[in-house]
Amino acid sequence: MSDLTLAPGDGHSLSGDTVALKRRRRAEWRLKAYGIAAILLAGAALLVLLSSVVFKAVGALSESYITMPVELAADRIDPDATADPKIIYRADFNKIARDAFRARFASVRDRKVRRQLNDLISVGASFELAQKVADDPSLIGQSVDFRFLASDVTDLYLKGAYGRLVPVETGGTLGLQTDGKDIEIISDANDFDDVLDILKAQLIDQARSLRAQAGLQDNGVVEFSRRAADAASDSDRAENESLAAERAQARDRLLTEATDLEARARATGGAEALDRGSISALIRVAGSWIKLTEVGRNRARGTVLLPGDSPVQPTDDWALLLSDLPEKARKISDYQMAWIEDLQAAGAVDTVFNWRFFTAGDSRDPELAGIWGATVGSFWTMLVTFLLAFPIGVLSAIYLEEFAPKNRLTDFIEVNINNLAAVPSIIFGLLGLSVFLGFFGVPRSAPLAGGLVLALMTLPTIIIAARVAMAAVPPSIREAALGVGASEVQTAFHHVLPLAVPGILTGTIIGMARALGETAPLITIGMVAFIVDIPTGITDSATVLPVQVYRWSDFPERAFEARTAAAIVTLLVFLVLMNALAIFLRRRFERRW
Amino acid sequence: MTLNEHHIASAFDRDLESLQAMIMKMGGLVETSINDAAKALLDRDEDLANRVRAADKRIDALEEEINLEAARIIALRAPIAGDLRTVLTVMKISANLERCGDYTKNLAKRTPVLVQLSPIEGSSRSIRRMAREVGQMLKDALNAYIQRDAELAEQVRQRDDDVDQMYNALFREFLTHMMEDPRNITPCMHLHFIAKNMERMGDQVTSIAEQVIYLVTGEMPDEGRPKSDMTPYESEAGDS
Amino acid sequence: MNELLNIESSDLMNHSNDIKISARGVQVHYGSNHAIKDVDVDIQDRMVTAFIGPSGCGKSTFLRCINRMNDTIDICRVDGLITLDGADIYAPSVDPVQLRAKVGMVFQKPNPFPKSIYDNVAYGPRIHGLAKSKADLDVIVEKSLRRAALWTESKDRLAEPGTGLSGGQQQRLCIARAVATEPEVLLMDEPCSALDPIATSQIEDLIDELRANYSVIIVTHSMQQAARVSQRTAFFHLGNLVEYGETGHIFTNPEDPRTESYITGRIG
Repeated sequence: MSDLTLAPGDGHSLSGDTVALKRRRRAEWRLKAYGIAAILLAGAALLVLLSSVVFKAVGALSESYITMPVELAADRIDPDATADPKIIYRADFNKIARDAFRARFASVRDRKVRRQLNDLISVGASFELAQKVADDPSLIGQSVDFRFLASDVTDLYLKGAYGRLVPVETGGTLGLQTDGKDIEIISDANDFDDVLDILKAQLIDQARSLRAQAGLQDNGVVEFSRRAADAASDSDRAENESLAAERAQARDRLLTEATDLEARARATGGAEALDRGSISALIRVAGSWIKLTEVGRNRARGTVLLPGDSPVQPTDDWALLLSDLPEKARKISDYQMAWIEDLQAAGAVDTVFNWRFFTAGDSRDPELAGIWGATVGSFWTMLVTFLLAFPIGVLSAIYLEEFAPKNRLTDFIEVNINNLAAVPSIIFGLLGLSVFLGFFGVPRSAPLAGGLVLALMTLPTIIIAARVAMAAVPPSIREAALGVGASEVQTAFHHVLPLAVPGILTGTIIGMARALGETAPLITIGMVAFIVDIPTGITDSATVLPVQVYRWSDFPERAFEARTAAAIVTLLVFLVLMNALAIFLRRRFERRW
Repeated sequence: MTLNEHHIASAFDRDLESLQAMIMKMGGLVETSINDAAKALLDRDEDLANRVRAADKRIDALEEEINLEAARIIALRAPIAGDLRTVLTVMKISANLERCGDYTKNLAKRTPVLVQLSPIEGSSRSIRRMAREVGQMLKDALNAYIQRDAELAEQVRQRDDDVDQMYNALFREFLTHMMEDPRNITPCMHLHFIAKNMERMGDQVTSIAEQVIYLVTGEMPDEGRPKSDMTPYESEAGDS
Repeated sequence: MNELLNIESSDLMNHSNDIKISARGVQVHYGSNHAIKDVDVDIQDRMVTAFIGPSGCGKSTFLRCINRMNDTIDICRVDGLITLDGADIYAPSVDPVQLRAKVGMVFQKPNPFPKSIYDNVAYGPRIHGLAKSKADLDVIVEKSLRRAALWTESKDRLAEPGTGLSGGQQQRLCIARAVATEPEVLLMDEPCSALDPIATSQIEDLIDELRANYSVIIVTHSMQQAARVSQRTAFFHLGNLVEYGETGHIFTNPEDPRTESYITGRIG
């Protein structure tokens, strides 16, 4: 035993920078650096993800209204003055609304242009007008100012999704001359130069693309010529030669076009026409809007989009506005832009917080769509899931942990429960489809079916968490309870379970949070139908938030992008709230032993 | 009797061994004292007698050391059963030995006085015989202690009878001498005390033997101790 | 020494020391391990009996047979006869839950429930229906806490958690909990091994008081504790009951050499 004694002075010194110490310090620093780098990377990824979603979602937070005086003629709405809502709703409020706008923009004659006028407001706006009149029949016969919900395109334009109208510096005095349809515009300064330059630049771009195409044709010529040279038979050679000739022709044509365009572009004088492919140039003067159709050095031609109140005198007070995108590339026409700008100038447009998003059900029109239906659907589904998974899960865990004999059968069950927790969720969806919907006939699309499927999915998580929580209760507590004469059931419920509650709650919330975000199994059992009404029970058709997100992300309307992002943010908020609830409950029930 | 000779804590064994070594040493010193004192008396050797007296100090010092050590063992080791009996008997035996040492010192103290006085015929030889018997008893008792031999200890206990008989005889002899000649009274008184001390030493050794029996069996031997000292019942010379 | 022993035994004779628990031919198997071999012992009422022996000798196992705590262990098999007041406690008609109300247990590490002091003591009477009203329950709680010498220290804080007490107080709370169900026997499995010496002394003093009303069996590693606290001692070795007798006798002059070897510290 005494062989291991060290003489004094042997062994390690306490201080001193040995090589080993330096190496160890470096290794520690490296480890810390890796850890911090990993956290920063994860944090950055999370930040990027969240900020991009939140940024996109901001657009859905506001909606726009156009206020317009409406003639509520009694003979069109309620001729017999019954004040009966059923009769009122049957009136053609669409036409009434359209007439209101036509009254405002009386200059519009063309049928196609009129249709554009109708597209300024949402299809749901006239229904809201009908609601207002039905609620207060005394309005019939009056002319009231009504706030019409703007259409999704109008709203997007107001948010700048289609680009803005950018003013160009003008110095000259504007003079107008009309010859019936078109207008001749003269400015005494070279104000249209910029527009001309842009157009000419467009021509050069076009020429470039034509040249590129010509180059491709030329490749064809070379290829076919080579084949002709290498051809084995005469017929082959002839065929290839003719193909080569075709290609050469096309190439030459393209080159000629390109050269023409370039010539036009180089020409200093001359006028260029604007078509749907070029950016729009608009002139706003004295309350009227003019769209330019042809532009020269200091003169232009155009059509009137919106006439002003009085004929225009030569004036310095005018604006030349260019759009960011050509009309071809946006869903809003020049006419619509002019009308909206005019309405805005008149103060008839207002933008408010979009409460509708949180209170309305689903809709095919983005401006009318809301997540309330999906939220309520999620609520019912979660309720069914919880009421099924929690009691069954906790009681199963109690049985398996406290009462089941430790034999092969119990081990087998345990292994299977652990495996079930890792099964892909869509399998549960298929199970639900065949068993619950097919065999038991549970109504499709109902929260009952969704809840059953999700409960099956959440059950293993709850059982495992509950078992772990109960196993963590020290055996001394059980022995104390048994020693005092408690039965095994009393021991489990009076002593073990209360101490295991924090762990059980955590497991439950984790399982429920996962269930809240599940999409695939619910789609499989059909909770993907278009549901407009808010579900009132567990057997009504419903959809859930993640499925709603999935559907909206599929729709073509651009306005749904912002709404999809807003729905995702809502889902995230719910998850955070559930986690906060879990932490609160844990703290409350935490008991030291 | 134990399954294992040694304690798991070996320091305990060492403590008990040292205690018992001290007792054996003390016993050896007392044995030597007895022999020397008897010899001094027989040979009328005053110097030897004085040495015996001086040696008694060592015996006393040992007794004190043994008591201290025993107290220490009781406090630190909390001995029970056989170990407790070991410690308790050591304490009693050391007290017994210390008394024996005192008796021997007393003999040695009286020796120079007796040298001055006229000798009594045959007395010193008888005393010597008694001393040898007691010395042998002591030796056997200590051996019985070391060997944990209860039978040997019982035998020692019985031999006290002989010592008592020897004392009875000497008592009567001295009475006769004193009645014969008043000048014998002083030396006979001294010799009597010496003989009495011898007899008491025998009793002390008997007590040691009883401690040995207690140590080995766990029970004190019953009152079958021979008590043959009849002198308290002696009346005027002539009766017996 | 004999005189002292005589006084002790006459002291015992004055109380009614009937046989409370009797064991005949008890065998306990843990799977294939024969843990308790053929134990015969009679435990007397209103007396403290100590079980001593080296680790793994089976004293705790035998203790746990008396209140059928071994029933909770699947691989444990108990054979032989154990009777309480003459009735076989392993008979099929006997409910272990009721038995454990009559035979209370205190464990090595104090394990109060994570409830208030009041609820700790009241739990047993509640589940066994011993109190008809809150007032009854209050009486039982006070009586139990007094019996456990904890009343004065806890009467002003009955609503505080039991886990907030010191180690010694917690063990006394466990004792109060055990006596609350009006048991006749108290089993104590090394009750002081987790406590400091002062708390240990207090518990030992308490055990001495408890023997006026209960039959107490205490398993202990400390021979000094067994010597201080018990009137009869049973020495277990390798699953056998080697010697059983009056405590003073066992510790001054045991019959069996194995006993002497163990108590003097020659074997362990």
